[in-house]
Order: sequence, then C-alpha cells, then structure tokens
Amino acid sequence: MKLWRWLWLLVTLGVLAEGFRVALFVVPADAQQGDVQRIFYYHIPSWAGMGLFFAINLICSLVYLAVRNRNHGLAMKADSLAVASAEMGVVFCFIGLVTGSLWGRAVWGIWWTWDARLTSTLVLWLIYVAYLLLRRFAAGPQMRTLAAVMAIFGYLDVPLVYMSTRWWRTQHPAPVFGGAPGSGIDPSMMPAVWWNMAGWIMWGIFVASLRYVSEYRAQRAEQDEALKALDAVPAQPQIAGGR
Amino acid sequence: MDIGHRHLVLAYAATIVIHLVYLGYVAVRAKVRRKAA
Repeated sequence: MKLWRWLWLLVTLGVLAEGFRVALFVVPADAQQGDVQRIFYYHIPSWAGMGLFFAINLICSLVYLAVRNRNHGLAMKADSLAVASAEMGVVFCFIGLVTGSLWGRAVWGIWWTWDARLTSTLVLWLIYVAYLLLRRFAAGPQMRTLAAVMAIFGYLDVPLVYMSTRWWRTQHPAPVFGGAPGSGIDPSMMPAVWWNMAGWIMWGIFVASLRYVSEYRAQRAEQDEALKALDAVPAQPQIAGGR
Repeated sequence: MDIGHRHLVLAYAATIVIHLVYLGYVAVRAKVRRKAA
C-alpha cells in the first residue's frame, strides 16, 4: 500500500475516533428520545455515503458508455471505479437499513414497516445488488455495457428515496435537514454530525480506492491475456483472386 | 441496559463490523488477484 494511503487511513481513523467520542460523550442527549437518538450520528453518514458513491457510479457509467469505443483505457478506469463505488454504496445503504431498523425498534416498537422511505430504500439496495450480481455472473463483451445502462436506470430511484419523506407522510419522520421551516437539530449536536460524516466518507474513499485498484488490475490482466491469445493465433494465408 | 442503550450499542457495532467485513473482502480479493498475476 502506498504511503499516501497509509496517511489517509491514519487521518481517517483519527476523525472516526473523534466522531465516536463526540457522538457518545460530548453532544447532549435528545430531549425526547434520550441516548438512542445518537444512532443518528452513524445513520445519517451512511445515507450521505450511499448518495455519494451511487452518484460516482452514475457518472462513471455515463463516462463508460460515452468512451467505450473510442478510449479503451479511460473506459476501463471508469468501469473499475463504477464497480468499486457501487459496492461501497451498497455497503453504506445496508448499514443505513440496519441502523434504521435498530433505531425503529427502539422508538417505534417495530423493526420494519412498508412505508415510502423504507420501501424505496430497500428497492434501491436490491437494484444495486442486482447490478453487482449481473457483473459477477454475466459474461461476454456486452456485460459492462449492460451494467452501465442498468446503473443509470437504477440511479433513478435515488431522488425518489430522497423525496419520499417530502411527498408522502408515512411512518418515517420528516426530513431533519432541508425540511420544513424549523426542521433541523440543535446546533450543539452538529459537531457529532460533521465529524462522523467526514470520517465515514473518508473511510469509504479509502476502501473504494483499494477496490478500484484491484478491479483495474484485474481488468488490465484480462485484457493482456486476450491480446496474448490473439497474438498466438497463426496468421491466415490470403487467398488471392478469389471469386 | 434498556432497549435504547442496547440498540445504540448494536447500531454502532453493526456499522463498524459491516465496514470491516467489506474491507476484509476487498483485501482478500486483492491478494487473490496478486497471486494469480
């Protein structure tokens, strides 16, 4: 692992440790929910991470489709980053669902309900799991193109998830940030949000960069093997004056 | 420990464990690739 990655990891662990300390021991407990509200400081960064990495996946998929026939090197990089960011987004989405379920059981008394936000998020997670399964099990030259198209359509669910608590009032609370006038949390709680948001996104960038390198190397090795196989095929004699 | 505290601990632990499991997957995959190359 390169030096800058070790340094990045060191800073990330420091930010995460500070985020943990601030979330549990510094910011005040919620007046209504008590300490269980502190799940928020891990729940929200998961959604932010998911949004960021699915957006990167979308951009890379668009780039891949645009350049795949003209610039093979760039297409390979875009495709490798697309798969790395999709996996990271799926991990963040899964954590958001798990922490949300644990929080819901403590404050609503239920693990799950088929409300607009929860259902659209589960569908989003399933779409990206399907995207990864397609990449894993489909073979052939069209696999990457199909995956990129699927990623673009899959991303359409992200704005739906974001707007679901604004368009439909069901079990999930109204948006905390950017919601109705008066929404938001007490300013004394914000440091826990910022530290953990920064820490988990830095962690996501770290892991996704490792995954990107591994995927890019694998694709390059695959390409080299294919080129070697082509070179090994003996040249066909030209038939002159054929009909 | 009441349900609120128990679920707070579970949520933080689940977050950390899931991230570490995925990091482990990435590391193993990279190692397998390096060996194959």
